[in-house]
Amino acid sequence: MKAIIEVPKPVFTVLNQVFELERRLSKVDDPTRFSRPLEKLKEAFDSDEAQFVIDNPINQKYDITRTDVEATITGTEHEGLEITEVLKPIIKLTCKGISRIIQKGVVIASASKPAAQ
Amino acid sequence: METINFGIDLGTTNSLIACFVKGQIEIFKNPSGFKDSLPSVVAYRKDRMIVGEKAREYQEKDPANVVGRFKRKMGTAEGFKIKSLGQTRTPIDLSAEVLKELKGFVHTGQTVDAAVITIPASFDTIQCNATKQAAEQAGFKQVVLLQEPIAASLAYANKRKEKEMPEGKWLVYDLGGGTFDVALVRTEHGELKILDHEGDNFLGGVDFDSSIVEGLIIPKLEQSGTFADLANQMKSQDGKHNNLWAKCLHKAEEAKIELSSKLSSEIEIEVTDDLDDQHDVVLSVTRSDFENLIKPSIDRTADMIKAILTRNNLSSKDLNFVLMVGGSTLVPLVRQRVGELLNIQVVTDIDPTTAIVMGAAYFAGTQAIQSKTASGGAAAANAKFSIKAVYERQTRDTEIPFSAKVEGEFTGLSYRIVRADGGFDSGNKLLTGRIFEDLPLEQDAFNVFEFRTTDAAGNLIPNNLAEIQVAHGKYSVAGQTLPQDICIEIDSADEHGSTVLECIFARNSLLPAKKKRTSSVSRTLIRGSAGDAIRIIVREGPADSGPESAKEIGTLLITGSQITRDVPKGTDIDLAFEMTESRDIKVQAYVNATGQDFAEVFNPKQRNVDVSNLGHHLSLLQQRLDHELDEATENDQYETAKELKRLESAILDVGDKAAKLSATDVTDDRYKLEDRKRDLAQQIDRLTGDKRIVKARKEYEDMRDECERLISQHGSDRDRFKLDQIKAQEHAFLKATNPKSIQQRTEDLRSLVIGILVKQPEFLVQHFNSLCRQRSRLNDEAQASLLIESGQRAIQQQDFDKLRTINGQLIDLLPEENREEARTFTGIH
Repeated sequence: MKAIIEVPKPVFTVLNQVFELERRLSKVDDPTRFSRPLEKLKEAFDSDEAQFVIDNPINQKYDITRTDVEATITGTEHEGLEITEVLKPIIKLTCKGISRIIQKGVVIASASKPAAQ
Repeated sequence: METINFGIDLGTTNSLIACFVKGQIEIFKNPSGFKDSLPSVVAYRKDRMIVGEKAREYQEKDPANVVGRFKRKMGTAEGFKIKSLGQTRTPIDLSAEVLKELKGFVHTGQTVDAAVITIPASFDTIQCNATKQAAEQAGFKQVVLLQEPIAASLAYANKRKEKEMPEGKWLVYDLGGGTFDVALVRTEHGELKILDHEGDNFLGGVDFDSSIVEGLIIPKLEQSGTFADLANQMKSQDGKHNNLWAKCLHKAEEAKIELSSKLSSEIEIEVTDDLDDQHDVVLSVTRSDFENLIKPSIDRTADMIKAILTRNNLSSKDLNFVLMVGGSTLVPLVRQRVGELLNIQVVTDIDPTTAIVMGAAYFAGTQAIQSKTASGGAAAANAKFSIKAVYERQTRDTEIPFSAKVEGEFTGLSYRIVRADGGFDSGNKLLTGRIFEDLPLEQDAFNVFEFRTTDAAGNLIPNNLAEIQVAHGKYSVAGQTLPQDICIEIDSADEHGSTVLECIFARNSLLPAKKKRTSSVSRTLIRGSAGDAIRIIVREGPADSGPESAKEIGTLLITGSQITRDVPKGTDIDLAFEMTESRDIKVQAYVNATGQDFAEVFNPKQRNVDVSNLGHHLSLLQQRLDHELDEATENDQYETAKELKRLESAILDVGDKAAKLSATDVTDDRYKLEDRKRDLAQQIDRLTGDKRIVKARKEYEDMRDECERLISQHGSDRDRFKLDQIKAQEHAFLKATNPKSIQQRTEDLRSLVIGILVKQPEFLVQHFNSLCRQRSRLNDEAQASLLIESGQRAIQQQDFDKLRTINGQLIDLLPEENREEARTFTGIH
């Protein structure tokens, strides 16, 4: 039997914004000066009882068996796909050693190599 | 008693499953994600089959292996070619996969082998049977079908407290992904009943998506690049741009959803034109553009609302409210137009996307499982006694009588009934062959009673009953209603070789239903004759229309090779018809002459719309219309002629569209056109049905005048009395909408006329002379000569009794096909 996990919506909002901040900071010069407050934010969601984990699946392979993300496939191909853009990250909750996905990632997938014409 | 409990909304775009648990509904979430629903899409990718969200993602990229929207083709012969399999999958196969996947949503460990599955109210019997077959294919042992408007009503009625719910009528306006239904519902003494409904199996949100593609996206693409015949190339399975069709539909759906909350939406499409040039096409769609596109569809729904109100002599003031369900009712224009039309409260309180599955689960909570399979456990199954309980599962009384029959070895055992909330305890009582208890109920709640059996030592002994469940104050369903008349096709009494429909179960009859009818065989069936047969053809459609306006459900064939002796013309056949709530039709025929029983339950049958046949039937319909139009014009029936003229242009429009369809067209167009064709045939029937009534009335009046004349000259007091009796009922039967009841009275008068005539010497002589003129056709020349000589002598001797007998003997020498007419003419039976 599956346990039903109820996570308050603001938790998702905050974790999604943490992800978005990290993504944008990766494009600025000297992102390390923001590292500490970001890590503090993440630690707030990492206790002994429960850990929330933000997972960024960028550049990972994508196929129909992958159920941790909701994908929009772009381009003409539907084979040899990889995740080229992440609009929302995967969020996992680990509780008493059991890990569960509580938010699927929202991604764009497309062929890693253009098909031969 | 164990109940089904599981309800399934098997939708065009999304499907859901829910369970009734002690008065509450749990909608099972998709375990592969966090949504309630499962996209009704099936993908066959290499060696794996995947249903739902993942399949939907690949739908536009890989249409050769991924199929969606197949509910709209349920009951049709159309299959979907799956490239990776090299095989075809039918809509039944694909629906079965969706149902199997839904079973996997149930995380409670229960075995799901019985369910209530919802269907559009407008689904015909073929489509119902196809749905049941899909469920059987998915391993369901028991399936109860429930019409979607009933399910929605049940969800809403159960959500409200009884004291707030005024008794009266309301409409359920259900505009889903692919189908539209509007139902008139009544609640009386806590019981819901569908009084009437209208529907269209080909009107829904996917049509709005298609409208955006056809009305906005394709013209924009044609402006942006070089394309030849782009619309057909997109819509045809073999078309160069077939993938683009699926992709545009997806984009259109996204835009449609956005336009429910915003005033405009942007659609971006990457496309390669016929010259291999790539284009990034961006178009902005405003809510107003979208509303202009869908307004004709919404107006069609409004017409169906008006039709229901008119048919039931109601105005919108007679309705309490209109209940909106189905995802497409989230479109602002839909709510606005319905509100404007009816000027009554438009209820949007319930989640339009889950209302139907909630209602299905409520209903499932009242439906008994026929064969016990899972619960109760092995211990209960091994019990040496069994309990059969009888009680009301839904009531508004404060207590219910409970009775049970106990069979098997139960000596020395006791029972105890305890209400789960602690409000009632029967105490330990000795188990006897019969148990009676009055069970008090908690009001407006779902009451669960535990039924415990114990031995002399107080040890718990398992039993097969375990729980008694009673819903107090909840609304129940009076029964499901038929969307169309169910008829049999019989030989016409008026025209040789033609057939008419006779109603067995009328539209809006409550199911289940049973009916018996005795028919006479109209031609002799010879034992052993391979090609000859009696056909009991069951059709679905308006009984006052022609057979061609009704769909064939099935045919029970009794062939010459099946019968044990000849079945002479005139022999009675006793027919029995049974229709279940899930619309299985059992037809049973008992042939009196042979003592044989024939029976068949009509199996799922597919609907096949061949594009070339469609054109052929449309041209036949056109010919019929031309004939009717000429007749109406000749008879100065200008109103009828005007209406027929209107239908003529509609037939031409359907004909044009049918002519443009390619044989491999992948859209639903062929079914839409077939439905429109049948609808037009029914409209012609209705218009010309008036003509048949006018004709029947005229024949009646002529016969009545003739009868009056004869009675005044030769009739007896008894003849006068019979005539007066028929005339006294004129005010009722002359108003009938079905010509048959008028024709029956005309026949009664004809019998009266013939009864008087056969007593008149002039008539007998005239009839004898008429038979003499047919001498060359009489079967036995020598016998005919003798009879004619005797007849002439009888006339000379004025022996008219003898002449009457001779006339009868001469008729017997006529070929069989002439006898009926001759006998009717003389009144000899």
